[in-house]
Amino acid sequence: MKAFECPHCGAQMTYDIAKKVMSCAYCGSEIRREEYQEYLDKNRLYTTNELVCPQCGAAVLSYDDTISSFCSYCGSPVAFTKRIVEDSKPDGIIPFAVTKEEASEKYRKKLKDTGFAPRWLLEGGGTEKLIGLYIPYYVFDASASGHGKSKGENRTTSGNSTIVREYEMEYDLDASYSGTRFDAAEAFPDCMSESVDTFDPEKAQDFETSYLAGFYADGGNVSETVYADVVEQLVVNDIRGRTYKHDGISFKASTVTPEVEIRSKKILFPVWLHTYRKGDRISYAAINGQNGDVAAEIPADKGRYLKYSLIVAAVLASILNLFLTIPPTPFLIVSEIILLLFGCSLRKLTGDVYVRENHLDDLGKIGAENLSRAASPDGAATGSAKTSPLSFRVPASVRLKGWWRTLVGLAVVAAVLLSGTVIDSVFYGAAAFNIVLALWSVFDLLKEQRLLASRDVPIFTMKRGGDGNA
Amino acid sequence: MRKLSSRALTVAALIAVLVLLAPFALDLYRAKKNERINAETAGTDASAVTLLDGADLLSDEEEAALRGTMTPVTAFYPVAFVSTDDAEGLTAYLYAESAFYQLYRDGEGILFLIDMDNRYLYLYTSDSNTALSKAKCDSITDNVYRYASVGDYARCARETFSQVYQVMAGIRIPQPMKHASNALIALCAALFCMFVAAISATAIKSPRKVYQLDKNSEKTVNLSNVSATLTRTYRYSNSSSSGGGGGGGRSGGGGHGGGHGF
Repeated sequence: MKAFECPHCGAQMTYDIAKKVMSCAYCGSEIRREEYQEYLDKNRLYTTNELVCPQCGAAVLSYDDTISSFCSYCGSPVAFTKRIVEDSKPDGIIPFAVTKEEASEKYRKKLKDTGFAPRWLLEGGGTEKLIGLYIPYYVFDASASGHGKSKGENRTTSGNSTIVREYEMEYDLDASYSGTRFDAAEAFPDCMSESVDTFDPEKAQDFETSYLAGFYADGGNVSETVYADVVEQLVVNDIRGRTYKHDGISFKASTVTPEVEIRSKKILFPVWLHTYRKGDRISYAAINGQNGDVAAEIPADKGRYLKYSLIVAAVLASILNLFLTIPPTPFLIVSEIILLLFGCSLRKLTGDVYVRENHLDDLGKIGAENLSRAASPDGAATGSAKTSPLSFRVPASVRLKGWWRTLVGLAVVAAVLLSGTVIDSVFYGAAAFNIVLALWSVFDLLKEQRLLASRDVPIFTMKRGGDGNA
Repeated sequence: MRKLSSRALTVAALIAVLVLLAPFALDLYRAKKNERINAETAGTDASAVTLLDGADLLSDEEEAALRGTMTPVTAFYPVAFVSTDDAEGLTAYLYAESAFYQLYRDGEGILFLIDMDNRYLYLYTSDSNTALSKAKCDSITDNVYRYASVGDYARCARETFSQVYQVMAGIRIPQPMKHASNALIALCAALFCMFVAAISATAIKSPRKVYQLDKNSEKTVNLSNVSATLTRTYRYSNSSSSGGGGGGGRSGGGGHGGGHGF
């Protein structure tokens, strides 16, 4: 957001002492101060403090003089730079209903309930690192209309046979969607904002600055146009994916291309944000400030995971020993199935990590215009081909990362079966080799899970207006 | 509180390791206990022992020694040793079944076959013999096939009937590979299930689920001015082919068994 932006070009305006007018150095506009104040009031602007973290560049708003010594986005203890800015008033706000202590308690309970949370995360979950933050969300309404043609079908049963009647359908379509929302904060990852979004927007109040007292607000520097394309795609996909019925005829509108009109309003949602930094990685936990729901990134502790696994394995083995005697050949095949299972899981997880690390699922961070560039394997812009956040392209090298063990195991199984040997030790040895590969995969799975449950310390290059003088 | 549960978790994990290793220790204990033929329960009916060494695998001395090992089993069932180098186009299982039928018709018995034609061992018994299950037959032939692989057919047969007697007398035979394979399968299943639990516990939306229409959002889709023009009509029959008449089961008495190649 800019302080005192020019209504013509959006650049920074300053007060010309000599002329006693507001002057824009970029476009040369001059506006009387009283008229400019009317403009500010009409455009629902309010004055607040902007606090910028010198480490990561994240900026939050604080209406009063409260300044935290801790940046909740990069987890660093910092001295914020502060300046006064004008920001546009949001269309609504959901006030905090959950206290800091309640939020902390819910977070700690969540950590304990998972059973896999590491000690360092549990010990670092105190209230001192919880920040009350209003996150701006765009709440989108969409209306769609169009004309379509499709093939329809009616099936009836007569005795032992089924009669199928095919139709050419033609129709007008009219749709409305409301309430889909995405956050307007570049610094707050989209996956976190969507995970903690169990808000009830019916409880939103008209915005008043007094709600911000004692809390921070993210200024929301992401334009709604970034998400507008996504909303349009989602609306079109939903229209095309439905099955419609008319006079007993079923059909889909799979070829219709409706005209979609998008409207949005900005509402502040309350979130208690907890950040834990370990080395170059940070983990976020967001507690819904309205209802206390927790969305937390929790890396699994390797020791606890292995101990729980041993306990479950002992129970399972005792049960299997009661009735199962598996001959060598089926055991070899079972070992390959196990390897396949781990390989599929690793493939999916490495793909998710790739998407997360490259921010392909964070439109707010990279913006729609940069999405194509980021998603292209060679990093080049893909021109008119628009990469959608609804379908990620993960490079083959990443997808194969989890598969090589499965392929090696498959080769071993094939070699043993084709050799025609009857020696049990060959079968058991090959199966044990596959099981060792599967166990090796487990450590990779844990490593990927820890990557997915944390992220690199962020650096934000947020747009700032004016000369930044506080 | 957490310190206590962490300790309890470690103790439980150690107990779990002991539970996993217990079957192996038990097998070792049984093997070292030197459980041998109990003279009080051993049979003595030599007339119930049949030796048909069609493939001429055994010398006279070996046949006599084998009879000595087979006789105790007669306390439970008549026993037979059969070897052949011409299975007449049958599988080892079918040959064993046929030989069993020729010897015992629909009666009870235990037959061990060394099939030199198919290079297969087969242990066959009547269905009434629930102590010597198919799994046990497989385990026994798993344990003895190595002797046949190196040409020591006499020892292969002696070990087979020795283990058959132990099973019939309720003496547990070691099954190390069963315990090892079950333990490994259980460990892999546990690791996978716990991994799924760990992933589920992190309640962050996976990348592919971040951009979706809010499930509580209002959605209304209406169609108007709908027209339908019939383009084609066709019909197909729903009747499924009835199953063929049930095939008759094989004639002859029921039996089961297990085997291993060599």
